[in-house]
Amino acid sequence: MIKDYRTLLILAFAGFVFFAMSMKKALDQDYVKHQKAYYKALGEEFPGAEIKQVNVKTPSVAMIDRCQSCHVGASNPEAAGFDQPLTAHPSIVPGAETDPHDFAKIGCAVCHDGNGRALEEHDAHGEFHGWIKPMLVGQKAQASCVRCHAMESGHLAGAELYEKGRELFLEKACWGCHTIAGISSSSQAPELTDAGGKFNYDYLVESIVHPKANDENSKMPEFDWVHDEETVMALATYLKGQQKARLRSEDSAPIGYIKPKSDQVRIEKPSVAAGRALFAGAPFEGAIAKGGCVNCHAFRNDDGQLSGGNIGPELTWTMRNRGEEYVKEHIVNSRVHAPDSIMPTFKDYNEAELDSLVAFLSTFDYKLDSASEGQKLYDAYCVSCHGEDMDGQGIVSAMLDPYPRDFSKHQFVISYEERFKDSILNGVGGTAMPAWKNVLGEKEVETLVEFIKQKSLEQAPTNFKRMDVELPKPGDAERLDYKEKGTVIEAGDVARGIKAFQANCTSCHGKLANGKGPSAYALEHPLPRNLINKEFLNQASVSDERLYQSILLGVAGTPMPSHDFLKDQTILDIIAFIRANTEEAE
Amino acid sequence: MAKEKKEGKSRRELITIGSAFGLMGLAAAGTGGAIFKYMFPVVSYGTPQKFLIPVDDLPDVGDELVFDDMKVVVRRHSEEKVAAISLVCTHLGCTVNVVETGFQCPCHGSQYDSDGLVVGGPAPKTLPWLEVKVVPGGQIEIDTGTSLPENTFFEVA
Amino acid sequence: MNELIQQAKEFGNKLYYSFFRHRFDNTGLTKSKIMFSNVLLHIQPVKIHKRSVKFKTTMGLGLITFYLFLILSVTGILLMFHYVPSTAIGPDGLPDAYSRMLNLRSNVFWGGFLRNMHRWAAHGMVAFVALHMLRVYLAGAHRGGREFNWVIGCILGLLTVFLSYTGYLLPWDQLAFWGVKVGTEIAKIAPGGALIRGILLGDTDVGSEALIRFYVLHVAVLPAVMGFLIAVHFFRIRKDGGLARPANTQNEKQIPDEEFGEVKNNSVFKSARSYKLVEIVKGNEPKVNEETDQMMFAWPKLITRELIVLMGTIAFLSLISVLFDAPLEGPADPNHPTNPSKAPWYFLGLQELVSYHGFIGGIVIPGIMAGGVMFLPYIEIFLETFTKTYRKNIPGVWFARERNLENSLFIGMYLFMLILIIIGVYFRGENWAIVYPWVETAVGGGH
Repeated sequence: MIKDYRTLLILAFAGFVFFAMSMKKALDQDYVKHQKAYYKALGEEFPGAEIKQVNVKTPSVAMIDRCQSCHVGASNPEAAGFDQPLTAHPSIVPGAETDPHDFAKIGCAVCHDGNGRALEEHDAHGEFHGWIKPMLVGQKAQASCVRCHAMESGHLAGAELYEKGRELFLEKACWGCHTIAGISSSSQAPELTDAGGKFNYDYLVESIVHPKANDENSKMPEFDWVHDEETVMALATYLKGQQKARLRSEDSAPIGYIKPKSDQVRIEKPSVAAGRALFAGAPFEGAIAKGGCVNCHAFRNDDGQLSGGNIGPELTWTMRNRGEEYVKEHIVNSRVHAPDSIMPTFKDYNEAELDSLVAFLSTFDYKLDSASEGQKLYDAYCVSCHGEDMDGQGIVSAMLDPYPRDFSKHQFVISYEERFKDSILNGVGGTAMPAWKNVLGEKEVETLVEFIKQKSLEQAPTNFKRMDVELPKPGDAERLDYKEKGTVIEAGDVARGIKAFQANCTSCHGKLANGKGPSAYALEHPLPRNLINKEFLNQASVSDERLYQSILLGVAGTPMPSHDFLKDQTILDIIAFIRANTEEAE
Repeated sequence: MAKEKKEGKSRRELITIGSAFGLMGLAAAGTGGAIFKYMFPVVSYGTPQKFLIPVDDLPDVGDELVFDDMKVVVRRHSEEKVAAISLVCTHLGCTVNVVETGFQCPCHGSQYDSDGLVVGGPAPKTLPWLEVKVVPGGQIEIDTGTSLPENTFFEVA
Repeated sequence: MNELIQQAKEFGNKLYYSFFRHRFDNTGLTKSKIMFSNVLLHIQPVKIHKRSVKFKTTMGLGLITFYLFLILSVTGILLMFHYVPSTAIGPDGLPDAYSRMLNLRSNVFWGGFLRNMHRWAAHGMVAFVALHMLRVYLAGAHRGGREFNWVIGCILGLLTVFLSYTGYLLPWDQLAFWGVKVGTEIAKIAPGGALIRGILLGDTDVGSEALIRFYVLHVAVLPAVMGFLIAVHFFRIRKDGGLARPANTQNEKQIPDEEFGEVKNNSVFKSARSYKLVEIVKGNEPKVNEETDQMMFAWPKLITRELIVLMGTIAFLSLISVLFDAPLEGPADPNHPTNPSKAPWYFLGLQELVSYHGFIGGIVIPGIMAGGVMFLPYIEIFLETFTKTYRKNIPGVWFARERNLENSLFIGMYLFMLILIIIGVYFRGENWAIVYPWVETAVGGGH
């Protein structure tokens, strides 16, 4: 029996100790310690611990805020030199004699987010998994000014970081792709009107620096100007400040409220200077900058010095390559000519602004000496897309769709030799490859072709040769199907073509035939062809015969395999479908 | 001998079990206390003691205005003299009605004159007059937690 | 003076006998009186078989389960004082139910501890129900007249899981919301499941209606049913003649007499002994010098042992609750599921099965398991009755050799579920893809 009683005693003791521990834990909370330390530092008698709760009332909501249970000295200037969390809050409005923000009324979480109810640091700062609003430390809290103040434009003292972010957003042409209601409208990229309400700060930072971190298929470029901390912070603070839910409506906003400017000043008269300003994203004679082409596109000055971004193709020759009409249409809606372009649409440009840009772009007249050798020509005209190793991995190619041709694949170069010259002279429709006939002379083109062929075929085996097959003609009773599978007698039929396409092509080319099938992203360079790109498909060089050969034999040096198991009739059906589908896609 | 040993054993048993139950009792008492503390409120979510009203909302001179949700009547004596009287009956906390003769409590029939002095019924004390303060931003702050003698007016000019 | 002392003694005596109806001496009569004059002790018999208090007989598993239920009731009632089953968005943009959780954690004294205790006890109860069932089966204690009690036990087990599950939703955080969402989607696969789901949720989706229904089920309906069935469960144990024991316990090692206190015999008939109070129970009549020697008074040995289990449970649970905080994620957001969305751990085996095949994994296998387990003793009886070679009614014997096949099948089923649960909890990451816990920690519910 005594053994049992001893066990009971030990367990009772253990239970007693653990209960005592739980009560000590409940009594001995951080805020008690902080308040004791605070009164000791002040040299005053400790009046007893108290949860200092602020019920922040605004017309729409009231928030529970207990932050000042630990941050006891927040509004006491005498606590200025104390350590965190006891120290006084630095002044919010620089230079103001008395700060208009009364923490006894508005609390802390209104600006700094976090979990206002909690009393334990980890909890209160919103650092636990899944908490929607982790704390905004220090300057980041400027993202919350917008909850009470109007911040669309103008200046609010103390919100410098936010305002820098706003400038960057305009200057760096983020608005070109992203919509923020009242500033821009574009369907290119996710809307950011409520970015601050939807995403937390760290998510925004991550998405700015590494767009693919949160969305693998993001098309957003990795900008090279966002890698210093201050820039990222400014931009993220600005985006965090884009919140639909506000604590104050416009008419009840507190003192310091500045009405946004309602109308933008627009450029009314075309000029090269205005074009230059638009191109650079700089303000022009009072007009707010709504350009910033230079953030993505580079150009060469007269000395061949390259400057600008490397997200879109270089624009040095673009007026000579494309012509005025194409360039204007491309600016207003880039998808008209290149269906897979990621360039933002600048629909709200007026004629004067377009003319200004065209005028500015026309001032580029850099050109190489026509007697230059192949390497030099390639390095000037081709390298930015096709890459130094001719592998189609040029500096801007990642953002182009379709990718630039990879010349390091000798099979392709051997198979399609005769197409080169034509492609260079007339360009490839629906892609980033422009026509060079107005820039390069016949001789230069020949030099280039020779150069590329020579480089590409240096190490190529000599025995590779592409088969030659003719396009079967409907009603040709003489012709045996390839591998003698039957006789071709009919023209291609769209209805049968749809079925065949769905059965054989969609995994790469996609159900819509836009080249975005489920396997497309797993394929190696180049990506599957977008088969509703009408500019591409309607060129003379993309004949039915070429399509037939590409389907039957595959495309050398690409992931497109041969389809010799298909009957000729089926291939013709598919071609008929592709043609009809392209027409329809218009 | 044998008997002594047995008794020794039983005494040891008794001490052990006694201390075990003692500890359990202590823990239970502590738990009881903890549960009391668990039930006791530490913060209030209710209406704050102080509230703000814009100067423009003040009644005209010689007039008074009842703020229902704060249970306060604001009285304006002159252009700059303003006072606030609590409408909470000093008897058992009902809200009194403003009547011709002063204030009347609907619950137990306490009667006050227009200055809040008790004239009838069970009410033990005068209705409290409240502190009125001018705060920046064109507003005045009324503190319902204060209790001042009757006819305490404040400058709001 | 003496008279006064006499009167005081008399008064004291009267007072004492108004509380207790007995003294605390060592006679058999007193020990009997203690047991049947106290409402809490009376559920137990005056005399029990000695093997009943041995650790290896029950391991205290059923008792721990019952104590956890008591702890859950007490902490649950306390938590109710600070809880609102409402999804209404409160003043600071948080659902009411959720902000109450935040309050419990921060400014309610002992609130965090009580919540931890409630949550961990709930998990513990599910686990101990399973262990208790395993013990009962492996010791053959589901047989020998106890078959129906096994069925009641199975219903109690299901109720436990359902109680845990209904409680899971109440914090209204992401974990709760998506755990319950997944659980009710599993229910939808069952025939008639959509109906049950509709009744449970009161809406087409998990929302404010579901919260109220789950709350009422959790705090009123299920505990009441559970309490009633526990009473039936205990009562039947007594009426079935106490804990299951082998037909012959003569040769078992017994507790020496001095271990449960000397019993003075102050009866007039010095040679007589009080064998057993008259009870109408099943089982053999006590035989002089045989079975009787194996019987002992329940007071104080059994009661002490039970207290030890109670204190052990409370001590261990409070230690866990001091050390580990019950999980609480961000407030429920019906538009943004956590990735992965995991049900509570006791459903993760099921969720793992469902991830292979909805109907087979969600209905057929668990249905066969639950139904099969519940009616297992009757299947055995059926086989015994209709197959002469099947004679396996061996109650109270651990791992009886004759029952090797049954026992291994039962253990196998436990292992199967255990492995599925471990996979579900630790090896499933985003998009329900396999992850290795030593590479990255699986998140998103399950606890």
